[in-house]
Amino acid sequence: MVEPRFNFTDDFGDARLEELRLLSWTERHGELSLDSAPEGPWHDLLLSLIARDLLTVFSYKTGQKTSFHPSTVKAQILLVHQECRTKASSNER
Amino acid sequence: MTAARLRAIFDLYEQRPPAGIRLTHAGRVRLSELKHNLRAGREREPFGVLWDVRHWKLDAHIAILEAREDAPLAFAYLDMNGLGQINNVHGHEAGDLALKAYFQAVSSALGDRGQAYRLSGGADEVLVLLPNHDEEAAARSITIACKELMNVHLWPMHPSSLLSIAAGIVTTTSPSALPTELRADADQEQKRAKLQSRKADPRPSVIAIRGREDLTVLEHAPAGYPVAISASYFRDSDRRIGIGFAITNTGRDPLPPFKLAVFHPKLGSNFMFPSSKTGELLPHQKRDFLCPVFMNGAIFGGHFPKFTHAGNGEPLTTEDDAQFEFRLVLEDSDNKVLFASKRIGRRLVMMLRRSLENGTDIKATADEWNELGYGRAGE
Repeated sequence: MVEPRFNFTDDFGDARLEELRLLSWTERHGELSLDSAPEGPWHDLLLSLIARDLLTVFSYKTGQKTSFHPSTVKAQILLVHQECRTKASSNER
Repeated sequence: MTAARLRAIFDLYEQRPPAGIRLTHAGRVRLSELKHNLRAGREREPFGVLWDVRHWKLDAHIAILEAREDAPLAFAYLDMNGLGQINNVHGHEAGDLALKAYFQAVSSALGDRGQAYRLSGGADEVLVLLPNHDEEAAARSITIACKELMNVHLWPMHPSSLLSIAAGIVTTTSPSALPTELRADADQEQKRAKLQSRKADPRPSVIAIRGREDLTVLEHAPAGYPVAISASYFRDSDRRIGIGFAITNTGRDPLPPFKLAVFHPKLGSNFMFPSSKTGELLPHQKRDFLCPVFMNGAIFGGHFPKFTHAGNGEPLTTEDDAQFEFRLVLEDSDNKVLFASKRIGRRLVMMLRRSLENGTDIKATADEWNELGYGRAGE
């Protein structure tokens, strides 16, 4: 059985309605899986929802495995930060 | 969690799809708020009964998102039969009266179980959204609306002006269904119903459901209720005013002797209003009933001491009037109740309003008044 996918290629209409559609779809299916990152306003919407913590990729199970210790979290943040800096410097070059 | 969020944001900036995105509690709250906010601030159509056409699509989108296998969404497309003829025979004001009765019937049948929208400014097309309704449940709700409208007899002496509805129903359980497609499908079914309704005079209400060949046909004047009721104010002097009911036998057989009953929950009993004429009512015959009302609009209040609260004996007030229920009761010669109509309060108000607008008061003579036994005229 094919896993259902949210259709990010639909025309982007009323922003509030599209936000509602995406949240509603995720609630209905439990998890939102993507084959590729969406583009345009869909990309902005998804980014905004994750940034506002309305959607998350955090899993308590995974979190428990990697421990909640502050140093671990800090290490992960530093890792992402490091990746960002590396990317930025390579773009400058 | 913060790290996970940063990771996902970073992935998106990098055009990589984050894996395993789920809704948070804040997301569920936002979902609920969005639904509420998007539905807020809506306006009614000019009659103030149904929702304005501007809101149907957004509301439909939201309703579709909530459709599930165990909670289908029903779309119904309604059209009143014979509005053109009513306009031609009785004028456009009468057409407006019929439209309002139609909208009120739909609104009353739905209650808070669904939403209804008047689709175009001056026309009679109505779209109904019924969340959590399968075909059977939707058909039941629409049937109630049809019957409610068919019980409105605005022009008792013009059988061809009896009101009815053609309705098409479709349902969906898919959150990706499109409102415009559902509307078009429901309209298609409505046209099928409309064709059927044209085959009889007076035109029945007909309901068509997608995927079903058979239609539900609701005929006028079902057995047990072969009467038409009209009402208007009457007066015998400036001091007295009342409601006059005209009951017309629209059936084929004579009606046994009958009375007009008024029920009030506080009084806890029925008051029968006599007609000056008694005996059976032959087909097409009309009989008048006169009920006392006062200039301030208070029915029975104060001026008739015998109409008091059952409990404390205090006179009834204007507020109590709203609780009166008018019913038509048919009794045989042994006072055995053969048939009691449903409440006719809503129609009464509508007919009285029309009576006031058209200045068509019934004038009762002093003798007629005195025969009713509520005291002598002028007292």
